[in-house]
Amino acid sequence: MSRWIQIIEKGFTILAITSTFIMVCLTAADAMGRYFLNQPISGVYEITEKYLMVFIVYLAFTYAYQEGANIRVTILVSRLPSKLNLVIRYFVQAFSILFVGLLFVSATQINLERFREVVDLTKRLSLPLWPAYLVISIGLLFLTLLIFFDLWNVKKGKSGLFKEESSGEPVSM
Amino acid sequence: MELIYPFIILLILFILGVPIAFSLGTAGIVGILFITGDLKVLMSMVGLVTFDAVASYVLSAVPMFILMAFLSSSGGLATDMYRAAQNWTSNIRGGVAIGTVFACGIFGAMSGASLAAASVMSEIAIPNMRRLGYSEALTGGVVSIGATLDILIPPSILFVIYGIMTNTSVGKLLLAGVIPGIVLGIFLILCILLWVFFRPQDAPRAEPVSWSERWHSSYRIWPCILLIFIVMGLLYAGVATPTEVAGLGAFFAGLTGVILRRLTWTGAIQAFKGTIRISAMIFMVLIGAYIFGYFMTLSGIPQKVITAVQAMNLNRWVVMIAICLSYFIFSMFMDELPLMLLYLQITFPLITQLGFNPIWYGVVMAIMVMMGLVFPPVGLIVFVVSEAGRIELSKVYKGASILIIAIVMTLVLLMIFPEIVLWLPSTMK
Amino acid sequence: PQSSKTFSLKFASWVPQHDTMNYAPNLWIKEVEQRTGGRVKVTPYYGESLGKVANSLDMLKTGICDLALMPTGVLSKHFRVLDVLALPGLIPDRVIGTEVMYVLLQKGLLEKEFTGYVPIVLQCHDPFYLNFTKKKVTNLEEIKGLKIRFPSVTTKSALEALGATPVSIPPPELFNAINTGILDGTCASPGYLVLSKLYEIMKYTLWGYPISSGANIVLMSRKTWEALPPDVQLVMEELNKNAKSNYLEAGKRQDEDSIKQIKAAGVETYHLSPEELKKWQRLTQPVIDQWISDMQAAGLPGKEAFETAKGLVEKHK
Ligand code: NA
Ligand code: NA
Repeated sequence: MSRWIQIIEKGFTILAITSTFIMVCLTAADAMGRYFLNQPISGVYEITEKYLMVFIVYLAFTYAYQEGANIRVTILVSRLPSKLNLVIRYFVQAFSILFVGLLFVSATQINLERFREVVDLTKRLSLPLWPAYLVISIGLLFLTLLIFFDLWNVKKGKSGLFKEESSGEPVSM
Repeated sequence: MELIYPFIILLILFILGVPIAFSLGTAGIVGILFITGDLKVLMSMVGLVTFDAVASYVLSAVPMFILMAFLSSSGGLATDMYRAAQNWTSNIRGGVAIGTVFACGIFGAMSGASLAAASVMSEIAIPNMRRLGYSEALTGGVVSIGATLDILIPPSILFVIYGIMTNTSVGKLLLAGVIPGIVLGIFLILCILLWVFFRPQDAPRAEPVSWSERWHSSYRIWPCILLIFIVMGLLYAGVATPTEVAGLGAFFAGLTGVILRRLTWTGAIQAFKGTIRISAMIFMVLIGAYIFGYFMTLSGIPQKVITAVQAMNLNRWVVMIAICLSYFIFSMFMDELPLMLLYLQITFPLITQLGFNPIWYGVVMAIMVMMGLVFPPVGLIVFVVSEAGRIELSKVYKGASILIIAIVMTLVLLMIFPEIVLWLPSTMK
Repeated sequence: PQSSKTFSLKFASWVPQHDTMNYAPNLWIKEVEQRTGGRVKVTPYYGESLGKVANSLDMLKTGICDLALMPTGVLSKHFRVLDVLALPGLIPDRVIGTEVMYVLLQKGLLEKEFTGYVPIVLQCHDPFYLNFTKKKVTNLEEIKGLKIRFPSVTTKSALEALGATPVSIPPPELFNAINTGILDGTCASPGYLVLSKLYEIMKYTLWGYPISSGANIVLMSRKTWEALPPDVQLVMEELNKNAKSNYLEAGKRQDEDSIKQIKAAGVETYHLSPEELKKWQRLTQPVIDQWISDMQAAGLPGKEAFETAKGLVEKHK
């Protein structure tokens, strides 16, 4: 199981990085094209907004989770006796499964109703939106599963949710 | 009265250590359910948020500004710049610290994420200051406060997020931060000079530097100048929108790294990995905040706050100072991004109602965030500086808590003279 | 005997409370409350605070809101017949545009796109004109290569046909993009020029050639409608009739005000020469033809819609 998780996570990470790279190149090329050649690239706006951003964020969730990139308030729990702390950690882990699971269900539900939607790049060219919707569902489903299987790691202190307390850098603006 | 329950739930989940994004989202969900009593409405709202909070052209500047920060730091540009700044300032007492402020300010113009600045400046500046015998409190304080400059000086992801949440021009916000950033830099240098005047033992003199050495090191910083030109020049001249500036900035940060053969394959991968990790984290918080925001809308709380405040008939500056003080207290315990989002949802309609300028308030918000990042007990920048620079946390806090005066002075100054913020965006051409 | 059951409805409007587009709906809300003796209460949520404007229809379908004000331009994928308003050089003002919509509605041509919804008021806004900052464009040679922001894909094709370079800019950045010269001009209605303060930096505005138009319509979800008692429905139907004239009144006030302000700000307003106008119309005709043939291919009454609109425009000349 964990081997499969690793493989999928790695695949997602590669795709998210590729999307980031494409986004940077497209945005730069669009701006330069408009300035130097008076020729912006049609559709960069829509592709960035509707696809690349979604790919980057939703495919990166699992990686971010594994790396412990969750901001939490730890100043209070960290002072509790370790037994109570462990109980609370199980609660937090279970709670997180529910929350992300709810995101998954609600996103899938609404997007099933609108999977036929398209976005116009030009009058002649439209792209279907379902790939973006699909990535949202896949990203959230996998994150839910990941947090679920991490239940068995809570006791060992290896759950992605509680990693940042031991090592790793905090993240913010 | 039941409107209070979501807030109680929020508080309990925070205390239990549930990730803040999930806490905000859950509190919002409970609130929406309370008000509408309709599960279908709730699920649809949440479902739509998962796409809408992320699928935004303007917000695509966030990952690209972060990437620019990582590429600038892994490409060795920061080291060159630090050395050049040192060579020009090191012959006065406290000069190495002052040079660090300059380096932080310039790096701030190449990076959109203050924690990237904190970690790279710690790695470069702290060993050098330690070697010269600077006190750890001064060293840690200078790097911490210096790193916050990154937030005010464009590029800055804070302003992108503020702009999208309040429907304010990101371009104007980014420019609005420039002069306050310079003012803060000057105040910080003044504070350092005062510090070394009273405690000269904290800042021993450095060895003199020859003019040829100065020029030689300055010549090497051309890639930095290029990047700064891309950001500042393009924003100000208006050749590109903020999103395009982010794209061009990240692109050229990577390109100079490759051309100068400073950016390795591993370095680039690390930069991209860091970027997607932080972006995922930020957008998870945004998703939670959006859900909470819909609860706020449905509850009508912001309007109630406006009515209540107007009934009190207070001077609007009393309200503003109350907002800042309460923010400061909360920020001691909370992370800055979710706190800012939460605060905007309650205070933004109020302050526009009171006639404050939204751009100006954005800069005030940025300064509040900066203080929150360096003030104990939860100050993320201080954590980073302490870890990356291997200085005891309490020492960094000591230095930061003294030098934070520079930030407070900046805040007071731009409350008295809002033009400091508003002049540059108004001249934009 | 009236039932005493009360109904609490939510109205989502993507524009601010005091926007001209909210004038008629706000009045409608107030009068519905009065005439039903408070049995129907409508809470308005302005400025996309309940959800993004692009989701307006999803919001109605799922019950997030019961009524929504939505722009047909943003939702042109759904309001395909109403998209006739966006055709270049067609709709000269909001009175005719609004008339066109009501006639289309009467003829049953909007049936497909209004399925599941009940129209409350249809409001065509003032037409989009071309506005320039750098030079006064009086002929096709001068518009060539100018970077101009477009409101929708139909207008994008029209701009391309005229030889301009259409550019995408996010709305909050539009002012800066014009001020700093990223753009040479933009498609905007006189009302929008004033609202967005663009008239302070705009130099020339070309009137008489509407590059596009569009509408903001208020729909109620049919589910909500059917749950209302007949007497309430009757009240609403009556108010819907008033809403149209209320809108046109508010629109007239806005038009007068925008013209005054734009002129006072020193923006040069001008028209194309009749021969030049003909050339422009000729160049953009293929966009119209393409639109009609796309519609016919999709089995939609594009030709009838266009001819209805064209006929009304001719009639008012
Ligand atoms: Na910065
Ligand atoms: Na803090």
